[in-house]
Amino acid sequence: MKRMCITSTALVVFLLMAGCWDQDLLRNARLIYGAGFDLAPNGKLLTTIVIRDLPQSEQQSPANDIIYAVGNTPRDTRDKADNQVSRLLRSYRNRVILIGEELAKQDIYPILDVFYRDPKSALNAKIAVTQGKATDILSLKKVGNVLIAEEIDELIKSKEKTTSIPKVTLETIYPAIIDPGEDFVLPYLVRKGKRVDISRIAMFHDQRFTGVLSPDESTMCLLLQARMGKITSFTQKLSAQKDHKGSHDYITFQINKSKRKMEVLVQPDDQISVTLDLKWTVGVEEYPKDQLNDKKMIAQLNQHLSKAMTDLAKKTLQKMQEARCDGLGIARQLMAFHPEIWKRQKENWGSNYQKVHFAPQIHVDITKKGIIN
Amino acid sequence: MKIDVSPSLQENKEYIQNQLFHSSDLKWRSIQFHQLEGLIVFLESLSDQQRIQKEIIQPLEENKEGTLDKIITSVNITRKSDLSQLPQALVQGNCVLLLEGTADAFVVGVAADYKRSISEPVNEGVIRGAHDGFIEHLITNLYLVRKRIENPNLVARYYQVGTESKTKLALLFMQNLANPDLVKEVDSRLRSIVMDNTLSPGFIAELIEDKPFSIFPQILFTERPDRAVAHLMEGRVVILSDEDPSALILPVTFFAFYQTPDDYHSRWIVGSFLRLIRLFSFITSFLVPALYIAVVGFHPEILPTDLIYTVKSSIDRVPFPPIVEAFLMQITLEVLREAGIRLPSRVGQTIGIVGGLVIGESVVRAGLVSYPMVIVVALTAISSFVAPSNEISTASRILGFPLMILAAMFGLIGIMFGLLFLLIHLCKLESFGTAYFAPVMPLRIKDLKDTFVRFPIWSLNQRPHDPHPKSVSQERYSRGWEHDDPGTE
Repeated sequence: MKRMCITSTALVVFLLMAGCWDQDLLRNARLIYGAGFDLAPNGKLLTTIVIRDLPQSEQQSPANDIIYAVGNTPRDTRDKADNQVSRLLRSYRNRVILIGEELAKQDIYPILDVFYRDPKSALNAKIAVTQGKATDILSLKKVGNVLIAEEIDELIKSKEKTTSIPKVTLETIYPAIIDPGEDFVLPYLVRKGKRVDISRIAMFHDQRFTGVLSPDESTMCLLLQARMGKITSFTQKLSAQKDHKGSHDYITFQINKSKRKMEVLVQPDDQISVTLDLKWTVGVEEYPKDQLNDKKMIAQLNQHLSKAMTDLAKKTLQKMQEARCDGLGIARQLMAFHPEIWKRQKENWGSNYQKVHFAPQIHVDITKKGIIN
Repeated sequence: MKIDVSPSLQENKEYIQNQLFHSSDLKWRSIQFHQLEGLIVFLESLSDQQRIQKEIIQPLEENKEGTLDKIITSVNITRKSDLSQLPQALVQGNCVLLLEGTADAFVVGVAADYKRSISEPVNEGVIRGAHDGFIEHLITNLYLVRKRIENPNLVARYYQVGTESKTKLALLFMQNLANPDLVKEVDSRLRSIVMDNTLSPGFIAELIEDKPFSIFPQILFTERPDRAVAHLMEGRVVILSDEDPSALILPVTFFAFYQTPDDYHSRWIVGSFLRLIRLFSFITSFLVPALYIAVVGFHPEILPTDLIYTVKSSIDRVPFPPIVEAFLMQITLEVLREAGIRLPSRVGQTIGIVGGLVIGESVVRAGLVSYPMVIVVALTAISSFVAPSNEISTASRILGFPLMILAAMFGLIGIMFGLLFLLIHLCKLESFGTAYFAPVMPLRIKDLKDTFVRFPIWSLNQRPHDPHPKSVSQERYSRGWEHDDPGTE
């Protein structure tokens, strides 16, 4: 009886003392859908937070509430933003993080630290760099009928599939951020009037934004990294002559399969050279000239496309070297296979990387011609 | 205390009248037998008067030679010299025959049998299979069992419990299968019952079960003879009681509550699928509300993005915390269910309208309860009704309440601790010396063939081990036609 009394008292006390201490009611949450970070004057940080508010009745559509806050650190600005909204600002369903170009040119890790430290933060949020200020893009509020943060999120997802931009989330760039062996690339957002365009890649070196690739180069960069999405297609001009005009002179092809072989070689004089062999099997998507029955024609096309694509790869790699972005992870290869070289070169890897000699070679092989041939 | 039957008819009659306190349904009739004055005494409410006429009076009137026991054609006739036993014989429906100057009374069994016909149990219907069920008559019930096992090894033992009500029980078991220790244990527990009145088998179950404070039922109730027989053939015992159609099966495991005869009547793939669904719904019947409360109250981040906004838009308008919402709906549901049972079927539709439309729709429209909560509660209710046994169905719903409180206080970790406690309890529970959670704990791989899924009949070579049957093997090579050599399976 005495034991029963003690146990039940203990139970009641435990329940009453401890009850609900880490309750986090969904009802009391204001959910952040997206956030943007920009440089503010005097070295401060401007944070733009997009909150998705839900309709009170089923007929109304949801609306975005956009809050601006200036502070010293991301956490500081978020607390200041929380002061401006009712209920609690919760970030566990954050979908996108945008970083303004100017801010990205500084080290981006201090901005992201708060996300990695909080156990409840949404690590599967997309992260991207914006041309100009992130706040300008988020302030669009709506693109067409779609709310801005949702539009960016969906746009990023769809462009990942077309191999236009890399598939990155907060979680997947973390290893690249702390790893000296590899640099990461992020999607690059451009505001076009009242719309957002996502087709380019922002290159980073040492957690700093260092350059942008054009849409074709972005796709090529991803292919060189062997990160092909579901759909990858190029449109290529066929003849070098300038008088040929109109759509007759173009071919659009889709890459069905891409096989990459990368080899890092070190010459005796410490010259690092990288051979990149890519074998593509492609399908023709659009080719108004239509002579694909001819085997000779196909061989000719193969040759032409191989050359054009190799040129594009060369251009891409050159740009990446200029930006010092080691997106292919050459440093990691050196660490693994040539550690003594890496020991000598790691001090000044950024400029050493620019001296690496790349020899890309792309073989295009047309295997599908569509249903009319 | 023995009282001799008096030679005087009048004295005997007065004694009986006094013992039965001049009850109005006590009747007597004078007769003449071999020039002796006689008296037939009976209770008109319990005795079959046509049988008295045919089996006693008619033969007596023919006035044949011989003693009384020879002349009376009734099957059941005993001679009693103790007057004090006669009132008890009368209330059991017998008829007492007294003769002037004779020191013995004759007790003739002429009890009336008013019983309903054998019909399918309402709450244990099956799609295919036998459609007969036990009724409120012990002998008929015994007949239904014996008819299915025509085997001398089937033993029935009668018991009388209830010092005043004298309820008749029958303990059934297979002599060659049931463990003797088990039979002895049940026997001793039944004998130890000291109670005025045992109204129903529920009383018996409560008096003999091991852990009366456990939420889990440890004795399986059934009104289906085929179910009882199946368990008998696994070496379990069955207790039938007079005036009640429920048979008690013991000892049973947790999984027995989720088996139905339908599993064995349909093909094994279908049977297995349905059993998996049933066990799954056992889990959902107590876990879903708790999970919902924990997720909405503690861990909303685990919801996918699209779902979280759907849920949020619904609960934003609700003025209560999720636990209050859940209790409100769960209790309403229990009330509705209870009302549904009590309500006559003609007004039963009202419950549907009140429950479905008023509670379900208006409560959300009024913003008292959110849509997801209505779905959660409905899911809980439906999955609890899937259980083939009413006992486990109710138990699982009640189980949901403590889990809901734990979830509201501690979130998922609270649910984890609750489930841990539940599992430990299940593993620890014993019923008549057999593990309740067998064959999962203690694990016996062979017996798993007939728990979560039902393996093909021909692969169930052994009986379940949990009731410790005398003989384990129940079949071999049942598809013998497939093999020329029976040595290879």
